Amino acid sequence: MMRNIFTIGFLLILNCLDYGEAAPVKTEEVEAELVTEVELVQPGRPFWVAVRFAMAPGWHIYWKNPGDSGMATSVEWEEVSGVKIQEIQWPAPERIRVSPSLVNFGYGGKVLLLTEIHPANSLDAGKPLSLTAQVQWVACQEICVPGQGEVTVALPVKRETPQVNSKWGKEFERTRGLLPIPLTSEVFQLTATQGQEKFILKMIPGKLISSQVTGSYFFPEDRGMVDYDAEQLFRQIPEGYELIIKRSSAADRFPDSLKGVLLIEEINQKRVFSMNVPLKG
Amino acid sequence: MRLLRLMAVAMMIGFSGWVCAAVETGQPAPDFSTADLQGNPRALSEFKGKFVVLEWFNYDCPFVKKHYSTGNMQNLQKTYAEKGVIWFSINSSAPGKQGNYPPDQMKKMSEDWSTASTEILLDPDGTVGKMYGAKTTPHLFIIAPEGKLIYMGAIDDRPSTNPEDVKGATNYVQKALDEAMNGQEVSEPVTQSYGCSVKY
Repeated sequence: MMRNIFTIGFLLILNCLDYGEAAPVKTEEVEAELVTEVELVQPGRPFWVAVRFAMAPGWHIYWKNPGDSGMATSVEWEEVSGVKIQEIQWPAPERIRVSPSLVNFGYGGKVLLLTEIHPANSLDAGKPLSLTAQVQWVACQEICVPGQGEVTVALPVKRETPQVNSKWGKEFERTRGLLPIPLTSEVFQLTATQGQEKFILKMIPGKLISSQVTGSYFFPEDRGMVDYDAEQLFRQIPEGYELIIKRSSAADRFPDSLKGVLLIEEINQKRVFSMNVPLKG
Repeated sequence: MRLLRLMAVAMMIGFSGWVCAAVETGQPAPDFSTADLQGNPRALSEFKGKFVVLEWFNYDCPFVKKHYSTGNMQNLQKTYAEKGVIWFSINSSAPGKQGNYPPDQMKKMSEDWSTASTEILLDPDGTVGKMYGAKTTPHLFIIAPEGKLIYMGAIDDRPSTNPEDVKGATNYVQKALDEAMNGQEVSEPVTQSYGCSVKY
């Protein structure tokens, strides 16, 4: 009897709460909040959420490898029973020149760090689902300012097809277009070799490369391998293309692979791919 | 348009030559001379025969604050001073940029932080910083008694601003000094530094 009263009371209180986002975490430089692509959770149907960062003009936060300075943005999810939370999907970063000698990888303006949520079939419809993450970042312009906070969102759970959240739907779509896609041999056949001073990435175009490739850039995932400040030399070779990447003076002696994001510029488009190529030599 | 692009690239390559590290571990560390807080020129060569640590700092940088607010940096300075290591805290912030302060104010700040380095050196025109390729604050360099550079890079393996990360971190400076002072080869002579950019 008592248990029922408590349950009803609890549900009544929850009903009074607004579904949706709690107040964003705000600093002078950055506003961070948890946003969702859907308006409700259907048990068994995966859906997308994101930590949305909005930076004041001129300020940047950083990619998983920040480059020469700064710090990777971190999102740590609280475990919730009944859902599996996937890994963060990072949109392709920008290359940001901080000074004549320093280059960072990060984001300015707005960015969504996406995550897919897999709710179990058995998730209890009728109880809202609350998702919470601890977020930490360093925002830099001329100077750097750290920030952190908790972002949270609550969604109703119902056994019905969710509608796309009209407020954020477009931003989710746009951001998915900025996610690197796995690089297959239909795009390029890649081989990577290393010497004392540089890594050489050879790219033989496959059938999905229809036009002239005009430029390329490799964003390494691992810190300490690449000289971020040095220009990467892109050129045509008989078999296709070659990208020459200078090693960092702090490079691991013999890294096993080149892992990261490859930007490909063609005449009419830019595309980003995720790559992990074993290193020879 | 293409010509402009080429010029921009050439300029960037030229600029990057500024700080592309002229120093290499295993090689002699270049001598330098720059003013201490009293305005006296101090040179690396004054301390031949001793271990010397160069620590690039900026009291306003959150990564530096992480190590000073926890006492981590000061402990290192003190512990190794007792073992005869010379510790230079070097500030290469240009006038008008974050971290640059006149000598008397810098002195006060260093006392507020209980900084325990041998000397604080001011390098506002960035000569020493660029000579060594100091990119971040903090950025650490260790020079052995015979003048060879034996370590350069991060202070530890936790590239964050969180003071809680100091405790569990592997401190590269401590490791390198302990190894070298025991007559061993430094096992990790180069790591990637982390921090705020040096404000040249």
